[in-house]
Amino acid sequence: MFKSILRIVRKYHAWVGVLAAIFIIMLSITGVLLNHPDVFFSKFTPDSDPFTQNPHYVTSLKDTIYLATDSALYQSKSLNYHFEKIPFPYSPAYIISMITHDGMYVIGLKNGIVLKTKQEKWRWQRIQVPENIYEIYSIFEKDETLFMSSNAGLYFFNDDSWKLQLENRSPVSFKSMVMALHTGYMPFASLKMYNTIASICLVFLVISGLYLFFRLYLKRR
Amino acid sequence: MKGLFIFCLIFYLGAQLIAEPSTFSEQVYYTQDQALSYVYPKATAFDKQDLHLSDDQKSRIQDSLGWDVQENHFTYFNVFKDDVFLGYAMIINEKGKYRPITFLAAISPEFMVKDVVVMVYREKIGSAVRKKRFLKQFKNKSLADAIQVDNDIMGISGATISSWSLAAGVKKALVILEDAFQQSSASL
Repeated sequence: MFKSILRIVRKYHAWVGVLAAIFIIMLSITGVLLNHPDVFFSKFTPDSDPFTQNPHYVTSLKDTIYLATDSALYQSKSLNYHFEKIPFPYSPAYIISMITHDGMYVIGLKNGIVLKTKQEKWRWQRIQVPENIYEIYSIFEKDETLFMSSNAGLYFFNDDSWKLQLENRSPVSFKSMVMALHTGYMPFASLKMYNTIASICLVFLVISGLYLFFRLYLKRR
Repeated sequence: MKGLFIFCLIFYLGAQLIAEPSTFSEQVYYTQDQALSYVYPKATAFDKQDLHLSDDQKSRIQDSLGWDVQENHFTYFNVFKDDVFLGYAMIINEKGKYRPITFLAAISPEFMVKDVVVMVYREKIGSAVRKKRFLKQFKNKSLADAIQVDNDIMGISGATISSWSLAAGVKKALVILEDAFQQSSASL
């Protein structure tokens, strides 16, 4: 039984490998590029038109349109949609919410940063979030209270600190762990270097496998 | 031997997966003197100065940056090679996700970044920002540049917030020094 399985494996191993080669190469190379964007991707120098910079978040607050692109934060107060840049300390690519609260603008960034500024003058300052928060889903105001929805649960802001309103007790699903492992997200972010090395090894294996395949199989025919 | 190697590899990878970094970890990569020598290897003298920001100065700096500056006091160095002025070096403590990152920015007399070196890193993850391949992006940057991640600086995957903090801190150093020295030359 084992010998017949081995025979089948020997017969089809090379052909299955050739079939999967493109997929493996694509996955490996894109994985390495995404793990090290500072090495492989060129810096993007945006021009003044926000609609050439992947605008991903748009909202309207107090008759002004605010728009976040990958590179900058903009506002438009005019009817002809002329946008001007707003100073912002961090990457606007991560903005997921912008609201008004208590005479301030408050911005939430996806990876756990909250910033506020007075509405008369752009002077952003951080609102510290609890250490167990690594992802913010949204920020909103209800009954003049600032709320934040995050991976750890629903928080409200009171007396200069965040208080837990409702804890996120969702069980860690197998699917979410698989997704995290697949994308290199928390808690598997520390595998980044290993994944890079393994990807390079896979590329080598595919190329050498293809070489051997063409040399051994096709020439034999 | 091969089996031992495989076992060690699996153990290491498993430890990476399950190990929880300590809540507070301070990594000192360069002392002050080492950092100064690194960014200005040919310097012969480092003249330490303290800069105390007046309310007006702080207000101007914050207006220029667009964000708050917490500190009122900064340490910088005038750097010389014999009698030739090479530039400035400023120590910045910029908040990462929870804790400050201490780094040194070397700035030319023309207020362009010459080099940046991370001295102390206190976060659990993200120390990759200390690597040359990230920090070299700041070379020759001036206030004419955005100095912002995802604009003219590429961040490091897995060190996103630390990348942002470094960029914001370098910009802060440029604004502070340019304000301090262009203001003083304007008043002469």
